[in-house]
Amino acid sequence: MRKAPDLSPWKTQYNDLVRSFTGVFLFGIPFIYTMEMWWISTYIDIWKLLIFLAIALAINIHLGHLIHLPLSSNWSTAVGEALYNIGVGMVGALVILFLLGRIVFGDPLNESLGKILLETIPLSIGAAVTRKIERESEVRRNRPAVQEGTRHWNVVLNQIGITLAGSLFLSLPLASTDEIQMLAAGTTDYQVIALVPFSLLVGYIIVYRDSLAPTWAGDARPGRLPVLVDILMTYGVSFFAALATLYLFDRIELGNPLVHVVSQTVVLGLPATVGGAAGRRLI
Amino acid sequence: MSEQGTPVGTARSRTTAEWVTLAASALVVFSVLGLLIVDLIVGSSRDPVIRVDACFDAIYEEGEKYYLPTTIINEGGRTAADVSVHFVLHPGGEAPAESSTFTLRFLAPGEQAEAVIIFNAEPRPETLRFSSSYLYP
Repeated sequence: MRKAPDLSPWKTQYNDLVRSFTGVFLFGIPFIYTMEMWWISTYIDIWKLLIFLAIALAINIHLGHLIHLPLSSNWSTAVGEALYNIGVGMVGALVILFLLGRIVFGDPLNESLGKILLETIPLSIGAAVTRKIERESEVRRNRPAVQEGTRHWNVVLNQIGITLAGSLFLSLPLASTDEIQMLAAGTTDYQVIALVPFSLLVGYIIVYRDSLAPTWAGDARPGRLPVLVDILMTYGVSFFAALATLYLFDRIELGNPLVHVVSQTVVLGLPATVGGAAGRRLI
Repeated sequence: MSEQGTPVGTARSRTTAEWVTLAASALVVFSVLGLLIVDLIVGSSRDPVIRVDACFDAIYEEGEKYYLPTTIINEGGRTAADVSVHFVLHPGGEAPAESSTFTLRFLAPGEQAEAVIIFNAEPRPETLRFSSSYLYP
């Protein structure tokens, strides 16, 4: 059985940060892809946003206290956890909303703050819950990556299947909504292009995030090429899942302009990649 | 923040890495909070003021149609919902009047939207009239 390597505090903190952002993407993508959340931010009163922030703080203090039980019952630690989760949620919301063109330079400040704050509650809870789950499943990651004698292609096909299942899990509910078309129409070509490496990065973070060996074809420590191929495979399968669901829901048709098809698929490809990578990680 | 090898029931001091992360998170949260409070104090509660700027200098013609770029700006302090802008063109002579209407779902304070109005006759400042309306969210 593999033993978790001793990590420096900075490496440990990095892993924890990556876990948090994993939760942000997993739990927050469906909320960020909801147009009503964008609209409400344009007219919600500021005092209500302050209440949202207070609720986020209270929930995360409570979750922070639960995360550290029974290691510590120090409430200052819980407050620190809450600030950490909320900060991660805010940064995650800002990055994704910016990439999707929902926040642009020149937007009214209160509108941008509203969009970020409305997403902060679910995203920060996602960060907290994921860290809680991952800490309780440390033992699971010490299991052997691949059973002895497992054929290489069986492993690869299993990974493709898991990725496809996870991609469909997140892309199916989103493909049927108008948000994907709205987002694709509202993003510039540069934003669409930037979404591709961002999706690859998110997939990499979710699958490979804490330096322990991933479940790739029996390699205990895969080299650079397998990692690259693996991430490209994850994105490729997710892209295909996004394309298929858009076609099945009549959001795109044969003969549609290629730019129209690609932009919608790339936009939906981000949550599909999150789902596919999460499936690889959790199953 | 992470726990490693800490005996059950005891609190351990934070590492430098954890302090740095906590400081960065607190900076983000309190910056957002500060901006909200500033906006609450200095922000305007003035009703929406809708201004429509028709860019006659930027008119272009395609396929016997005239395209008029237009900017709609909310100069008030509150968000306007269902902003409707109605254009009426009286070209003069025997040419019939033309009208065009579009609606914006929301227009936040300071926000501006770009639109293009398409006419059969060339719009000019003296022949084009427009009106607008909105709802409170």
